[in-house]
Amino acid sequence: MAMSEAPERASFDDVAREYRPQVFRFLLSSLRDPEMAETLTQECLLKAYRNWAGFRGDSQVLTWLLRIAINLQKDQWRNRRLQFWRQTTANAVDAGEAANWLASEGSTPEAQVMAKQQVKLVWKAVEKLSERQRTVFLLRHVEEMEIAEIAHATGLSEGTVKAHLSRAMGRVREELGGRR
Amino acid sequence: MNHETNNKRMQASDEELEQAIASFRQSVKNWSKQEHAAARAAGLAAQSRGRGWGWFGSGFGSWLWMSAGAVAAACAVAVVIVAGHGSGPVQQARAVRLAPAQPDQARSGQAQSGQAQTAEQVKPESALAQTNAQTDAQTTTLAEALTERTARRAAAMQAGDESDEALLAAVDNDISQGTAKALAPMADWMGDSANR
Repeated sequence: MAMSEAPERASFDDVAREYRPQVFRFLLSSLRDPEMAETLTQECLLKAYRNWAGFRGDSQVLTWLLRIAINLQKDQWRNRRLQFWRQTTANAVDAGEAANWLASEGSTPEAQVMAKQQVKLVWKAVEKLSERQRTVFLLRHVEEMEIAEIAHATGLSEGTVKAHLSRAMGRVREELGGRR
Repeated sequence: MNHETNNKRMQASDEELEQAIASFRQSVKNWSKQEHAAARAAGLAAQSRGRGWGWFGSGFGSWLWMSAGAVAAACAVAVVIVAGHGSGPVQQARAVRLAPAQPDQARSGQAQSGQAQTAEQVKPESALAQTNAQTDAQTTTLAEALTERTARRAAAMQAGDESDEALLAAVDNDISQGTAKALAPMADWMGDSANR
């Protein structure tokens, strides 16, 4: 989180360029639908742009942007629950395919196969998580955010975040252990 | 590796879990980078068209251009409507009516029905002005004739020629003298009698 300046110290153009990939990445990992992730990323930046003057810098810019993205995702669920779910599941990339994006440099073929298998199992576990558990898990382990930041982004208390994270980790652990 | 024998479910060790999550994170980052790059490439043209808005992505760029196109089309339609309205026969007739002091211009456009009708309207106005001038001239002439006759009659009354008989006697006198001027008062008298 390099950029936590107040609005007057950074133009929105710079902020958007800096954080767009991270917003997109969170939405992509949450939805596994590149098209929907792209659409919501644009909506997120548009909404942020409109509210940029009102951003007081209480939280880091990325946390603020991710909070908007999470709320947009929730709105999609709430307003067009069935349609959104159908579209997302229809376009969602398969867990096996999503697991293919591993760097192969410096690892043996056996290690690569094992890593790919692990990633596939993690995706399977993530699929089974509730919306909140998935969000918390992805923010913690993909975006590498602190508990306090996650709490701010999701609007949950730190205790609730920890509880969701603990359950999510239990699911992943089970999934990984169950393969044997 | 921990094995929970009590409920017969096996769980991954912390090390294994950590390694799996690290691989998962790397996988997501690579995938996202790839997808983002693809989206950026698709939106490259949009970025070059509208710098400063490129971070909204190709979809937003397309939306901007579609909006701009719609506005331009609306403006073009409005211009065509205004131009068509201005060149119609009603508009032309109105333009000619606003300049009635230029009949030559009106006549030059007789090929168009609107202008021909207007020229016909202009013509009587000009004739009326001419008639009014003639009437004024006649009125002046009549007023002068009346003034002259009144003066002549006043002179005759002062001379004591108050009756037609006196006048006729004067005429007879003139006739007897065989002068042509005797006919003039007679004609004047005949005219007065006819007007009474």
